[in-house]
Amino acid sequence: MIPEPFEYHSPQSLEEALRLVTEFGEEGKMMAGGHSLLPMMKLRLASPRHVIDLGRLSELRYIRESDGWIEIGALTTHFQIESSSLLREKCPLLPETAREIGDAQVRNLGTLGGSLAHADPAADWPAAILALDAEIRANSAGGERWIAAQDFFVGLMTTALAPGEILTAVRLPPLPRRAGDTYLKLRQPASGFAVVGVGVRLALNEAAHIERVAIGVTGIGPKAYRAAAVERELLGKPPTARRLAEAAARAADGVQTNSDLFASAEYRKHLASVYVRRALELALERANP
Amino acid sequence: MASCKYDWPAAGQRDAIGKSTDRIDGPAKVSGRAKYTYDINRPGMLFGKMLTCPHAHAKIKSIDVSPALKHPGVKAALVIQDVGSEIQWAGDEIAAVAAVDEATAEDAVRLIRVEYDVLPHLVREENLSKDGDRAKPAGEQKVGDPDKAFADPEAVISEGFYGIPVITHCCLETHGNVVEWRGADSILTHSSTQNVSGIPSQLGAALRAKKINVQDSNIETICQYIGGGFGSKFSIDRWGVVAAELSKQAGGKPVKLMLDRDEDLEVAGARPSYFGHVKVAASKDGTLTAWSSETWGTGGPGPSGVPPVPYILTNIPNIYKKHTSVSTNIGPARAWRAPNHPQACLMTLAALDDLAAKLAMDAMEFLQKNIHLAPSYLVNTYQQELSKAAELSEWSKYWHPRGDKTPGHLKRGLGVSLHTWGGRGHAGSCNVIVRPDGSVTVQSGTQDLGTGTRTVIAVVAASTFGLPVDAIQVEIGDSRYPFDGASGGSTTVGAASAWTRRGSVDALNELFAAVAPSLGVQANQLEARDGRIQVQGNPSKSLSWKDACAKLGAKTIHTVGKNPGPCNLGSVGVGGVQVADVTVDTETGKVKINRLVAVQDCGLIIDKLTAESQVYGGLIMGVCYSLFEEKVMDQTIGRMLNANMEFYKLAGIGDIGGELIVHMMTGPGYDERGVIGLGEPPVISPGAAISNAVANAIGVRVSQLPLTPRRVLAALAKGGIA
Ligand SMILES: Cc1cc2nc3c(=O)[nH]c(=O)nc-3n(C[C@H](O)[C@H](O)[C@H](O)COP(=O)(O)OP(=O)(O)OC[C@H]3O[C@@H](n4cnc5c(N)ncnc54)[C@H](O)[C@@H]3O)c2cc1C
Repeated sequence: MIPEPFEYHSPQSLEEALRLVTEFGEEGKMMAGGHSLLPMMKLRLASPRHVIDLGRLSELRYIRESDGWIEIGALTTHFQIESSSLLREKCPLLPETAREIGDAQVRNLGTLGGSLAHADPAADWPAAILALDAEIRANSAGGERWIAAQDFFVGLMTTALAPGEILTAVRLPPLPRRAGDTYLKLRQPASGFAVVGVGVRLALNEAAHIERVAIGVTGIGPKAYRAAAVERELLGKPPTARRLAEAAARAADGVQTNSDLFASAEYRKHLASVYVRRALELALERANP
Repeated sequence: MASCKYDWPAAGQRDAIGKSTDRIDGPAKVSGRAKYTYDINRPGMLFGKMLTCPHAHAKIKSIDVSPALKHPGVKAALVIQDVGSEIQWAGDEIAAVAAVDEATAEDAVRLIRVEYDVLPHLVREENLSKDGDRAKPAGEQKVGDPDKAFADPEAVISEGFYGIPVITHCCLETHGNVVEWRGADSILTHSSTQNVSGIPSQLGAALRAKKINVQDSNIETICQYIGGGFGSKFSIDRWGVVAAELSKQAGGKPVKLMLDRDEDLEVAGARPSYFGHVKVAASKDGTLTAWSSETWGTGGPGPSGVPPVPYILTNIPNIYKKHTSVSTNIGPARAWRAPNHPQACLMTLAALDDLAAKLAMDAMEFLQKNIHLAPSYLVNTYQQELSKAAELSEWSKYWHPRGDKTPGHLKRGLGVSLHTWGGRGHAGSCNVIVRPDGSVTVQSGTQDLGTGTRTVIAVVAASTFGLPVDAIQVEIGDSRYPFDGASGGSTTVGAASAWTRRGSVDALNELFAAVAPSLGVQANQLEARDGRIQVQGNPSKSLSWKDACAKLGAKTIHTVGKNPGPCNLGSVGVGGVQVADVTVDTETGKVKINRLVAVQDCGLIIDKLTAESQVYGGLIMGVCYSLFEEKVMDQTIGRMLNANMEFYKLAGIGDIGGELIVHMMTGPGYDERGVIGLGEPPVISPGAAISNAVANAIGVRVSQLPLTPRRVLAALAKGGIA
């Protein structure tokens, strides 16, 4: 429970941080809230020689709206998202997701960027970000680029971030008209992480058929994913209860499913269907005020 | 006037007794000033670590600790079990080291070389037909003519399989000690123990058996605060003896040897399992006629214990029962809060609940109808408690025949259970000291497991002396104080209240004798009230407590209170009834507690607050083993798979889900029995009550605890309403 010795660095600007990240390469690790990194270091699953604390980069701690898009700085904490009145109004899915994360201490320190970069297979944010069709900004010494959420999660705790890149922001497209979204989760009873977590954003057209639907699922497989098979079944169709249930049954199609003492692979698949259906029903209710 | 001089005061004259008093050690605990064994750090202290056996069953072929001893920073190393020893469970202790810090000790342990002959093991017992010669008959009994009763064509018969797995104690403070030699022939231990007065003689005997000479009277054990024991911390245990040996080898330096969480879960506590097929019969009107059970369980390599079935309704006229004890290679059983009772309770009350359902009877009515089959001294109590529990749970409003027919995936149900326990005070003693400056101290080698022993002592002494509770200084948790028994089996409150009372009454009488001349009356005409010593019924002839004590001059009053002793201050045998109200999500299999109602008697209550806390604690621990706890053993590797707190889940307060409603039976009919212990009773019923509530909700029995989503969904797949 005691990490290996390391050197601590506290850059005062993004520029300085980028320089340190490049300088230390493999031997360095960024730290945001520390709520994934420090437990890993204590268990000696990670033993960086240099810890680069991003905590002073207040420039990366914000939630703002422009041109209908919402942009959130990478260092914004779970709690700041949970309590943002802007998000509650414009994108309730995000505060709903934040509320489900860990406990108050975790939410006070853990950050959106840290969670996405960490890409834990049972973390909540990845499912939410997938459901919102978000884009993720990565900065490096050479400049910046935007990565679509769908392309961001590559595998178990692996993302599209390249060495030397810092995740700096997440931006979300505006909520379409007649749309509803939600995040539902079954918590692992001890850790609080998602056994299954489902984010859904759904929009209806004039005829009240499903015009757009995005379903992000976490906890089931090695990485969070879009339940594309379910989405295909629903697009353009009227959202009857039966159709939602039938489509939701395909929530874990083609996914290599996790299994542990609390939830077998079979149970996880079952839960994925149940939670996708429930989330679709709730999002639909919200799209149909 | 009381008829016997130590008798409890009559109702209305009990001062703090029976009222709610905050724990006197509460502030120390919440502020962190309270020091648990885990917090003890002594000058020059070394850290002990043990090498444990990775195999469930093996013989030691060779062992060499010398590489560990050569490791820098290591001050002592020893073999615990030598070549030829047969190891019966994974995690058993083989060798130990003491080093300057924990990391060094861990590294050194890894250097110890052991070779084993691995032997065949059995670590799962729930399938009796696969247990082979590990299964040993452990008793068979017949009353009346059960065959005939079951053959009666009029009989309504219900048959079922029920099970409750091995769980571990999972004390939040793991087991262990800090042990040091004070010179060549004296030892001090700080021990996480339920048995402060008993540890010195255990340790002394164990050391003398190893040719290390030390008198019991030269061993002092201290335990001011303990982070849970639940029956698993009566013994010095092998690791305590090892700590003393390591300390000796290291020139007497203190050695801290506390188990790690995984070690604690694997070896330092197990509640025996209990599985069985039960058949019960009743006549059409619901009168119970016959019981038959074939049960088995494991308590590790030793015998499993024999849960008393049929539980409570022991006077069923026709009974057949047979129990088999399965010896397995898991860490050995230890007493777990109300040994054998939660198991017997589940087996019986679940079977009876299924029978009531088959009779299409309300479960509460069914119990009322058959409660005359309980021991006669409890029948009245149960009748009153069943009615009270029905009222508090709004039974008639929420109970329905099996299977909640409301549409949707959420099904609600109610279940009831009952339990009993002894709880007579153990043998023990205290000093009561009243000084000329008016200060009062009670000392005893007892311990406060978190149950409120300190507070109970203060309340009894204060109420006897007519003083406020905070005027009493309580000193316990040190074996140099007068001997008291181990805290187990709900025996502490009966003992502590009685020896405090007897010692305090004697001390008060001595004070009366010293004061009487100055008030111009006989000593027996005095009373202690409201901080004064006064002539009975005449407050104008009085002295303040302080002035009265000043009359002692240079003399300090010093009495010894004992239990057992004259006058009946306690009794034995309590009853309790609990109702669970749950909602089951039939899609996820999750069980949510809406309400748990506990109606409990424990004779005369000393401190209502700590009494109620015992019941709350029992309910919470009950939720843990009903919904979460199971020691999951893997037959292939022979080890526990969930020796951590991520997969060995205990309920946090958020997992309780609902409201806990506690009602203590007090007043006439209860108080005059005197004090009876309460530690065990409230933890017995939750398993059966919650299991019955789930069956009521979903229309099918989930046969085994804990009621995990997997088991609930599997039961639903076989039947039920969904
Ligand atoms: C008790 C507990 C319970 C929890 N429960 C939940 C839960 O229910 N649901 C859930 O989703 N999470 C849960 N978490 C995890 C928590 O949300 C973490 O805060 C989060 O996963 C990581 O965020 P962080 O800011 O703490 O990142 P850190 O721990 O600081 O970093 C995590 C990783 O991301 C990298 N990193 C951090 N910031 C950046 C960046 N800007 N750019 C590039 N790389 C970066 C770090 O180098 C590190 O590898 C829990 C954690 C704890 C301790």
